[in-house]
Amino acid sequence: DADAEDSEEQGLFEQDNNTVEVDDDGVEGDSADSGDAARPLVDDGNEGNVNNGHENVDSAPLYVQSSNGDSWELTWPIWHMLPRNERRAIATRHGMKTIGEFEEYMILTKAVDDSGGTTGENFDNQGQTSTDDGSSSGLAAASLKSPATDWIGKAEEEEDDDDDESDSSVEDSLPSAKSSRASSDSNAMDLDDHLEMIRLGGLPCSLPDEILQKVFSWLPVDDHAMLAMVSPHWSRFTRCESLYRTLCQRIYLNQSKRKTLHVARFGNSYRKMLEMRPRVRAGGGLYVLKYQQVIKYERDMFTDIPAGAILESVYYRYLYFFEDGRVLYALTHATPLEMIPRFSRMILSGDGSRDKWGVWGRYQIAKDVVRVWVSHSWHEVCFQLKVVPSNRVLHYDSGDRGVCTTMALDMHMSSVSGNFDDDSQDLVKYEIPSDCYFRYLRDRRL
Amino acid sequence: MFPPGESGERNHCLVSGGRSKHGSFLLISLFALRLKFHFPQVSNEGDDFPVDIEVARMSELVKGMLEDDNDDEEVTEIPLPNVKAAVLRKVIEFCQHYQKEPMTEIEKPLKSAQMAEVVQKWYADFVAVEQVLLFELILAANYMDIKPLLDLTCATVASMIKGKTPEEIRKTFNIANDFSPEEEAQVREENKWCEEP
Repeated sequence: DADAEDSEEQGLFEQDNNTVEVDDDGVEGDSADSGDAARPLVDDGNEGNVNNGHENVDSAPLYVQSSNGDSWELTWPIWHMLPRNERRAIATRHGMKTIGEFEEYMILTKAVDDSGGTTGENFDNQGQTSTDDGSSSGLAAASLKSPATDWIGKAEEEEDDDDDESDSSVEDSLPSAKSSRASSDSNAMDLDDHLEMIRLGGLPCSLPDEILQKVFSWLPVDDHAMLAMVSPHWSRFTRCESLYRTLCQRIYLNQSKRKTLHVARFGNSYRKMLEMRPRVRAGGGLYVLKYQQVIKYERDMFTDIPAGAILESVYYRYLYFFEDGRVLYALTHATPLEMIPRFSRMILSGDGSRDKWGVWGRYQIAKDVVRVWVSHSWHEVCFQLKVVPSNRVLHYDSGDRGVCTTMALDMHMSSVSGNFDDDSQDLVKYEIPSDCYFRYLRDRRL
Repeated sequence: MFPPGESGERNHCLVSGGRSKHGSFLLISLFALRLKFHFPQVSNEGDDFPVDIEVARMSELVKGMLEDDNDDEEVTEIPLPNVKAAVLRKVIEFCQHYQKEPMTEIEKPLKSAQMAEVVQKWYADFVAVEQVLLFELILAANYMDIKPLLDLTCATVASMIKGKTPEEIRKTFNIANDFSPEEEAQVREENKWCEEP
């Protein structure tokens, strides 16, 4: 049942975003409405959400607080029935200017979730592990023979839910997949030891501090926020100025033009610097700009497109930032569904690897202005982007978006010689369509 | 001091009665033994692991001990009281393979959550083990000071964390969520700098 829905969603998504869509009716919304109606209408109360909400945070992310304090899940059918002003209110709460922008963002997010495990297809280890679907939840169910029995019940429930996202979970739990099976087979694990371990924050907390720091040094910067939320013992490691300092060095010494930290400007607090100083999010996802334009088709005697047809052109610009100042860029009609696996392949094969659309470049940030230079084989392109500040109070529960996740496109130039100074001979400046934003899409494959 | 690899011939654990014809091997023995492990040579004190000198030298700890210990005996015993037999066997397996095929440096930050995509296949398979063993490998690598093994195992743990939500991390490592609601609210407040998009 769930699979069918998913595939329908996905099909819907692809259909919606064809490069050139010719539609006799000229109305694109209709098809979306009818397809979405197939999704279940979930209206569980608070309790259900608290327990299972975290599990589904990727696939069904949106909970809305109603006036009487209840929260309910927002689904497409509900969304379409909401009065306009309420839809606008929700969109604004998520930092979007218009309803359309919000819808578009939700659809983009959907692309990320639905495309679960397509990246590892070329790697031979995939075959070995893809057989044990949902084994990570199996671990939770099997090895948690502890007084916390409600955990077990929950884990088993989740196993069903997990099936549709099992692709991604298998991919992630790759190193642990075998171990989980082993540990559930052998009951060698002493129960008391096990409970003690759970109390202390799991096996990772059995490591000395400096080793744990070493482990964390392999994680992308933005993953560190996750760590603190695992358990109080974990937050001890990730809530200290020394770690914030390491993160600031990783971020700003690479990204900023002047390669300095200026911690004094932020009250000598590295944490404040992380919160306040504009940066780009490197790794863990990519920035997408979707441009959509509806054109009236000029009919002439050679046209076999029917009268009244409406031509919709959609394209995307993608930017993936590396910590070390490199950037991957693509201008294409391909949806995130297709591009994310492509990017992940390029990232894996490293510098100079080629892709039909993706090209390499570098970037630099000065104050809140990001400059990106990329080189196509025929000319050099330069973008100037502005990090949009986020001064609002963030609501984690309602899927609120974080800092530095939006960038406005300020300037777009190209030059064959790669000289972008004002006196350059071959500089071309392009007009920027209004309200063009790069939005950060998180994806665990990147 | 042993002349490393003097005869140009490597001894691959071919030991009879703790002596080898060619000399250059180490006998690493365990005094504090908790796991019973079947190995061809088991002495009375514990499990002995005869290894090639070059292999043993990968451990800074053992290397230091060798330099201190300058006698001309053919066999030296290095006591490793903190390392279990099963773990030590893995460590030696790693070191022996490292001599044949050195491990590529694992890039920071991790490019992928799959170890097979960031390091050679043999090493990815090597760390696809039970979690308990993996963490004991980390401790052993740290204690014996073997940098490549420490890198590999730490990166593996990182790959198990990468890109996951807190709930998924808890599930992976069997951690209880014992935040009080107030604590949790505070942690989230402090997380403002990189909230989930």
